[in-house]
Amino acid sequence: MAIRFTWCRSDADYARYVLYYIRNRHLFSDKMNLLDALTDVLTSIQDTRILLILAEDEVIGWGQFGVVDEAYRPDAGGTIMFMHSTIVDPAHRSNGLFLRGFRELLISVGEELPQLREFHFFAQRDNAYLNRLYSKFARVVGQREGMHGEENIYATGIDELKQYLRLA
Amino acid sequence: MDYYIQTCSTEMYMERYMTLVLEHYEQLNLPYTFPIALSFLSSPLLLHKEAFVCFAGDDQTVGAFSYIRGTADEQYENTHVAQIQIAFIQEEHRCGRLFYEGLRYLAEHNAMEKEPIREFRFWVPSRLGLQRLLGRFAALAHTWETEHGLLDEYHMSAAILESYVQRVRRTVAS
Repeated sequence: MAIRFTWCRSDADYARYVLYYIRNRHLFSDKMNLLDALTDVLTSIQDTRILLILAEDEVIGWGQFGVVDEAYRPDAGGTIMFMHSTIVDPAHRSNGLFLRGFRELLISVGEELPQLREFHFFAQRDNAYLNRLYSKFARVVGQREGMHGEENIYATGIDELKQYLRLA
Repeated sequence: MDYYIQTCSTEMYMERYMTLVLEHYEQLNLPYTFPIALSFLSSPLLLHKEAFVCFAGDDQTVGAFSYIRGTADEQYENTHVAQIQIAFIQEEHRCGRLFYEGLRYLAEHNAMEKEPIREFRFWVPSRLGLQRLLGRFAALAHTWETEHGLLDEYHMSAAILESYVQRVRRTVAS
């Protein structure tokens, strides 16, 4: 099945992102209710950009990214790209899709935001799969209390990440 | 077609409301950017759960409406005034019957509230040509010039809503 990536631009794109989030919020946590999901969207949508993942024309996930300063506050001129959240339909999860998503992101933002130096993201501490995957190309730089429990914060240089993805 | 209306008092009904308005987002004709429109559509759920879903047959969602209490110019303290955030019916179900059911439900719901709303306000793009229909139960208070065209502001008192609903009920009965 052909997978493609597209940034949310039109109102229709954003509506599809919120719909996918609402319908699949349990993928983040069984305890996440509708109002939690809406509050998360409302508090982050203005300062982030969203990369939709499509199989044929159906949304199967997305990644949400923001440019932030060192205290993780939104800063359009900041040097850190922060992954606010990501979600992928379990049936489509694979290392290949993961790598393609990262490549798509770096190629796309590399041209638009050349000031970026680091990429930061996080994983719930009890998610063994994600922690193993992320440790291959990033280091743990801290912990935080996330929306769904304790999280490891990972960081990597944009240049290192490009090397890992064979983009440099 | 049988229609019925539910207040979004549970997670399931709230999800049906949000899903319906997002699936038909482009038809809502909201004159705002998406983040503002989303906050506009979600606020009735986040504040007082004053959102309603219309069903056709057994379980098909075909419409939705919602409101919040208070207005920004009075810091939302004038809770006897409500702003209707959205009123939407899917095109194939736009008929007098469902429209009337919505108004009747709104009037009955309001009458049972601890502090009933005394005036509902809503905004409709002038170009939709709904002036005659809306004039039956609401007064045109102002027409605003916006970057998306002219926007009519209507005020509907709860008393007029109730008498309109009763008048229609009598007409249907006789």
